[in-house]
Amino acid sequence: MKGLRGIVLAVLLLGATAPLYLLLKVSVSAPAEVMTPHPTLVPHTVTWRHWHRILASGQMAAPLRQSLVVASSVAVLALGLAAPAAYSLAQLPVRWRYGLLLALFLCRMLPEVSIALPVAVVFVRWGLQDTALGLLLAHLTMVLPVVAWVLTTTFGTIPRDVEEAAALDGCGIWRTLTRIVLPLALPGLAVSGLLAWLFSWEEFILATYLTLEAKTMPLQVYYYLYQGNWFVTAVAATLMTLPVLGLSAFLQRYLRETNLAGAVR
Amino acid sequence: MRWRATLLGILGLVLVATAPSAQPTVTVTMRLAEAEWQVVRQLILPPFEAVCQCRVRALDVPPETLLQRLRAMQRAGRMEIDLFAQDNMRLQELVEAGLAAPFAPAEAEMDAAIYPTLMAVGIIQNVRYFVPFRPNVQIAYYNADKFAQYGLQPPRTWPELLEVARIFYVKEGIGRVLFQGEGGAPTTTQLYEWIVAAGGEPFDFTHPGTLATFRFLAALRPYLAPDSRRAKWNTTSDALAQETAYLAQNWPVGVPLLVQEYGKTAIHTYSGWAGPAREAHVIGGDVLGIPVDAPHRALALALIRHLQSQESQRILVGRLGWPSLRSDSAAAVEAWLRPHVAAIGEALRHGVFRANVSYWAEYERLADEAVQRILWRHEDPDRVLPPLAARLAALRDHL
Amino acid sequence: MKRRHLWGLVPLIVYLGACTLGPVVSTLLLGFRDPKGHWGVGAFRTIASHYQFTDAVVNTLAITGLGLSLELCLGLVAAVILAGRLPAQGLVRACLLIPLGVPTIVSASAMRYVFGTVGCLNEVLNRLGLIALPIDWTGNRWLALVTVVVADAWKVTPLVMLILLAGLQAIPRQLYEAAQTDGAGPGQQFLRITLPLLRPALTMALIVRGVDAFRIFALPLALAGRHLPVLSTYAYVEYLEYGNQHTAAASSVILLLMILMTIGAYLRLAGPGEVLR
Repeated sequence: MKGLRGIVLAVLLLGATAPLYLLLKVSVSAPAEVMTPHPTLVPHTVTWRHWHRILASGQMAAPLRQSLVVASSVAVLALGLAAPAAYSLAQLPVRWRYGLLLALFLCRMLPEVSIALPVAVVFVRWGLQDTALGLLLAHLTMVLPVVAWVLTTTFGTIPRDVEEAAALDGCGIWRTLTRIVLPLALPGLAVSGLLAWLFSWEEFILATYLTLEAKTMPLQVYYYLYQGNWFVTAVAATLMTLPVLGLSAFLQRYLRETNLAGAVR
Repeated sequence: MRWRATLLGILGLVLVATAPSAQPTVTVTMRLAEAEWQVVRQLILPPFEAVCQCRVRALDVPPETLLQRLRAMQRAGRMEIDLFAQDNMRLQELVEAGLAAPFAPAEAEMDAAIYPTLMAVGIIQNVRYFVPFRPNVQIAYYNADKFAQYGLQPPRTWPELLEVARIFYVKEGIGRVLFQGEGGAPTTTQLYEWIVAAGGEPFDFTHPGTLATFRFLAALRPYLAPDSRRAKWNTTSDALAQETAYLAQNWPVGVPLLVQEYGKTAIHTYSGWAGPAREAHVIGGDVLGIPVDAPHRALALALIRHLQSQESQRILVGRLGWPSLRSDSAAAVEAWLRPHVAAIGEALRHGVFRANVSYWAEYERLADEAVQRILWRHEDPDRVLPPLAARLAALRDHL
Repeated sequence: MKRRHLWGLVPLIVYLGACTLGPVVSTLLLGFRDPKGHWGVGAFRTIASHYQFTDAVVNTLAITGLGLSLELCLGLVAAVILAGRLPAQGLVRACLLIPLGVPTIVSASAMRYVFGTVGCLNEVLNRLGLIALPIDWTGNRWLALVTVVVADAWKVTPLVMLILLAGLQAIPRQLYEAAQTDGAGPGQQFLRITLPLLRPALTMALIVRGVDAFRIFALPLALAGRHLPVLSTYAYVEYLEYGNQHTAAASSVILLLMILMTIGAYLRLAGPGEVLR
């Protein structure tokens, strides 16, 4: 059984990392090794030419900054808007809770392409074209349902006894929330915050319509994908993936088990 | 709490960063490949900025989304674009949506050196809405090494094309001739020029020349490269570079990519092949237009003059191999580009314009369906075409 | 439940009402008008007779169905493995989570490196001597569907794994210990304890993933082009290529209905009380 587990795990790990390895490989390969009917699997010569070209052109700095600003704001604001709502929802009876959550999902159930234009018209009218604020607001609408759902489940697992114990001890609702509930909900907050950040970081359809000049990272990668060559695309794509890896590595410790739920039940 | 302060800080930074600048800024949109943008941004725009004391904001906007972007801005009452370059086949929709501003007769006077044949494209219903900017034409790329390996010559007629395709298929077991079959503009462009080359009528699917074209496509089908399903102007270059296709038609934009960036010196170009009736190549390219309610119309008009000027055209022709807009901008073309420029010039000599009909979008849909069903669903042309021909005739006569 | 607890909902609802309701409603209404502005179901009739639309519906259903099955199975396997004791657990989990963070557009281009005609997969198969000519992974319709499903599952399975892992860890260990003393083997423990108690997590995974699975857009477009239409790309082509907002909106309405019906059917079949907590 252990052996089987090991094999399956190895296959999963290989599958998870192989495409990214290919991306990195293309970004440091010489064209002759990729633009051929039989490309190499491991680069024979490593060339930093493509990286140098992209970084020297300075075309990635602004999109990188824009995407970082927008994604971080989206994550923070999504948590801020959804956490109180999720807390309330967790108190409701099950039918109401999920009925409301599903209603929130309505916006996510349409293809982005279809709502992009109406959203763009509204936002352009409000003078939000090419602004981080416009992107922030648009991304929030898509992200809030998922964040609310995850947080509702998270808050739902926090047993009532703990809160009631705190209330008996004389804590007001605010202190109960911040001192007791939030720390227990930290894994759920971390996961949903990460999901919100990831969504905003990679979103490009709404961004296409809401930006003219101030591109975000996905738009820049999209541009290289269709109008550049394979190598600059690979570099831009790798650049776009690195912050994500950093962020999820940082949040690893919050993604561990919640021990409380098991112990009390 | 700390996060609140951080959030306010971020919002503050954002607001500061988006404050407007003092110099007038003229905004122009185009769709160019990365290599082309480098030349435009470094060599074409700075001289204009120096002369007009303004800043040029040059943005890349694909032709498909331009209509929606302009529409969104117009509906919101905030037009931010002063000048756009648009594919010469997507003009009708801009005019019908009321997004393109007409040129006054005085403004419409063009430099005498500009080829008169190119002037006709911007006139719709007897009003000039667009002015010429960049003619473009597809050329044929071929892998000289592979052709030499099998002792073949680049085909010059349809029978030769079929034969070359068949030989590659037999020798290698897989098709090596690419047809841009992804659907949409790439496919209808190729189809249009092949129909004209066969002496057919593109808007009439019952015309014998048109039928002959579809039947030829059906005959070519087994020998086409599998990548043809997904081939458009950028993936065609990939296929040629990776040698999954040895012969393909594409816009000249692939030349700097293949020859300079990927170092594929085995890839040569020529003007292409002739159909049963003649050699025909669709003249595509971009024209310039000014949106309705553009904030800096005078600057936009000045920029148009600059882009059409002899100096600018010389740079574009010399560095990028663009076909020339004017008769007086023959430039010192860089050595590696010369044979390809010759191919482009030859193709332009057999150039045809696509008729700018008002039902082009519906026509494209029908043509798409015809090609898809014949090429990718392996249906018989004689069964596919009559119902489509009827719908097309209804479109034509409706006007 | 105290009334004042509901105040938390207010900011969320206000925000969504202001920024979402308008665009969503206007999109849906567009589907019921024709270019002249008259109300009617003309747009629906047009797309229903369009062969690419019926293809798009079938493809979307196939991709969603196959995809969800694959993702749930793989995610469950990965979650079960991760829930046990492992050396370097943090590192393993981090590696398995990597695809989740890869942006869709990046994963689309990475998958081209894998499944392209000159891609890694063809190259490996060639070197192993299994094939002489490259396989066209997106040529045949069904092969293309499977390719898209696998490519999409690569990116999305970590999310399912996360959700199921959280659900697994919420199951108290005493239950397993009790079952073991009663003589139940690992298989029985899995069927009788794990799966039933995992239902809320499975529901969350299904719904969160299901909604997005129906809307898949970038991967089919990047891998298979327009010949593997799904509802999102169909709406996209209608809108941008043919400039027809009404048929695009109509297909969006159909997509919305499909999602709602699927979720409704699932909840009805599984029993809401059982699967939601």
